[in-house]
Amino acid sequence: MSQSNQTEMEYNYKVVRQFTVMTVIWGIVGTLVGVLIAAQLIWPALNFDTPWLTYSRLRPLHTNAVIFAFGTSALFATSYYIVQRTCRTALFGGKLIPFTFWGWQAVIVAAAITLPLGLTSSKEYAELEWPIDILIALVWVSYAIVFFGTLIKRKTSHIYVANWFFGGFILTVAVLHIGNSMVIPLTWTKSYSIYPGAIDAMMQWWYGHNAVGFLLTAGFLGMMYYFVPKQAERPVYSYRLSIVHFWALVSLYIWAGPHHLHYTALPDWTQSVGMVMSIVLFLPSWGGMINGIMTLSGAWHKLRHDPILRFLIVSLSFYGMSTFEGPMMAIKSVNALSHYTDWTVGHVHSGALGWVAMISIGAMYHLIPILFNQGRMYSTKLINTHFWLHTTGIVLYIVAMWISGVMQGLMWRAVNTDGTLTYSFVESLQASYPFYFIRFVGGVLVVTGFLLMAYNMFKTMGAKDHSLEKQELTA
Amino acid sequence: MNKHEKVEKHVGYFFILTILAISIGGLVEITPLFFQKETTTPVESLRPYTALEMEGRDIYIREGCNNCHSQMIRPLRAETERYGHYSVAGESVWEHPFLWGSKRTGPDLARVGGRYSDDWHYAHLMNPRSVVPESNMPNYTWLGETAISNELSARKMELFNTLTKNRSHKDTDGNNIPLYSANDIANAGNEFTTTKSITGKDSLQEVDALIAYLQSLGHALK
Amino acid sequence: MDYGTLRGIFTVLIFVLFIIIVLWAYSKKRKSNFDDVANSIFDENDKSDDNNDNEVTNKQETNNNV
Repeated sequence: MSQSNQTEMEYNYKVVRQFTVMTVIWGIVGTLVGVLIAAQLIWPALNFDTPWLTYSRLRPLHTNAVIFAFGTSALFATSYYIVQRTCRTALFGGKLIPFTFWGWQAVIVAAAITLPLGLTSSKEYAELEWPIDILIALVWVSYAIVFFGTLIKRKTSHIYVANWFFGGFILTVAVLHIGNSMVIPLTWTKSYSIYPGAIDAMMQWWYGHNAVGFLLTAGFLGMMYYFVPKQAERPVYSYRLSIVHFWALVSLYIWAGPHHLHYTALPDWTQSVGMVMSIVLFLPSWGGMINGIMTLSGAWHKLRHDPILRFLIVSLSFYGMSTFEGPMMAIKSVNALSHYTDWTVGHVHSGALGWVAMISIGAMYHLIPILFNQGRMYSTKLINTHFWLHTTGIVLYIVAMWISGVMQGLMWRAVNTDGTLTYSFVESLQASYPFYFIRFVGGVLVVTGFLLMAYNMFKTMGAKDHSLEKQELTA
Repeated sequence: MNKHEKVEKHVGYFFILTILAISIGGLVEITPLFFQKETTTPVESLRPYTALEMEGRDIYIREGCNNCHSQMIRPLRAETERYGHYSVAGESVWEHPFLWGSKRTGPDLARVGGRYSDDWHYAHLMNPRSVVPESNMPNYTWLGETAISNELSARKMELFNTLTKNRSHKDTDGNNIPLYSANDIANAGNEFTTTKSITGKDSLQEVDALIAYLQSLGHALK
Repeated sequence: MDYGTLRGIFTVLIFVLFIIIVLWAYSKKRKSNFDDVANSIFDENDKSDDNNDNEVTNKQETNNNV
């Protein structure tokens, strides 16, 4: 694994390697917890009457692990890699660079300990208590210094578009995190949000939706704008479109939060603004998707032989699908049916497993050989198997959730001719069990895929330098 | 040099423009809420949590009940039919943090107070399937075996007085009445010695606090 | 000025800004410049000895219409 050639001297690949390996490991952990809690929804006895093994404490652990451990490690790895390569200069920041790695891993470990212990702020995707929040803020500011510092000392005249998306995501996440984490501490492990009721709800979903919009969208679009052209060996389809869709995305996303609060006690005008902006958001979202997929125009045949490219392009298809579904679910009348049901869960997973995970997995498969001095991954066949396991897993998952979600929505609102409710709540739960099982199976497939990926990665890392030679993928 | 080229080539401009782009939406949607009567005035019948209820609410948060139960009834016919009067912002004015939830793996709890007996809740929390055979809610057996502490209750009351400073009820002169009087705070522990535990144990258990909290939910509007 | 008017002005401003960005991005003059940037990721003849990357020597055009 050790490497002392010139690459090391010019570019800082050490931190990229660290984050890359952790991305795969946290991918396994995060999805494994997901499978456990999916099983607990079918077999509640699986908490073994143990507090820290209980669904309601583990669910935040699952979301935090996939978003902040897996997803964000992937963003760290790729942004550090891309910013150096496109700016033709090594990372800025000296000791701050390893601090971002170790600091971030410390945040993740702290989350993995405190959440099962029930130390939580209760705010979704922002559950961590205030001392950890402070550590997050410190790491994040360091990240910004490293990233923007590198941009400033670049040796190229332009800043390549991928870096705008990373830059936009880093800045916005800092603002969101600090804004939403404002609390008054009671003890070291307990605090209360300073925002009251409806305002707290608005703050939370301003944060929550933009964690999706900036961390899980803009950041990963940055990844897309580098790795898709690279893997396809073609420049991005339209650079102009990337500029327009960047500014449109950044300025529109921030408005969309209130669609999480349709028909709640949040004032109506806020809901209406949120709904309109969410629908308009469809345009820049699809701008990005089209730009990514069309990069392949004229080179479609590559999809047949290159499973890495397939991961990248299918991730864009899922991105397109979720960003169509999202605005649709933001329409109040649709939301009246979908809100509180499994449909939302399905939507999130088509974004998280389809878009975020697949683009990251593709990027990692592209990166790993380069970082560990190989021409290719240990086994291309295993990448292909991973692709099919992952894709089948997602399809099972989201189809199951669509059906159970719509069914729940319909059963909850069904009324008899005399105006009484047709179904009790628990009848809707009972009807959902078969779909919970299908979701569980889908999750198992995804985890299996991740395990194959880890095996493939460690085999690649363990191989003698340059022993795995690039194969021409012939038609 | 052309305009956008400047943005592309100067990190500083990029920085400022991005901050500008993301600020507008947030400012427009969030700031007015701080000044709107609807979101800052408590409904008239709202009362603060007792010390025991407050501890119960923190257990609700600790156990993550909000991951499966909403506390937000939407003004839709089937919903008010099932859960009662729709929720209004004035009921949440003293809620730090809000616990509206986003998913109903189990039913909404906004007005669960008084719907079931304390005994039902106790049986249900220890083993949900003993009262609802089809339920997938986990057992929360440890809540019946852990004594509840009131050590922090007084401090919590003071903290909530601070948090709700300008949003509490007003007296006839228009001055804000704190949620908890000095007397309330001084006697915060009383409730814990006078109440009997549903578990039959000598001291109050966590489950007692949680049940007290659940029974208080929705009291302001029925 | 009430809040509604302010919001109206905001909307118009943002829209104008958007049009400016579109006009700028789509002006003919910028095209070749953009092509250079878009191709820049392929010419990272990185000072490294391991060239795992797919080198593309000829500049490829980005789309003309979109």
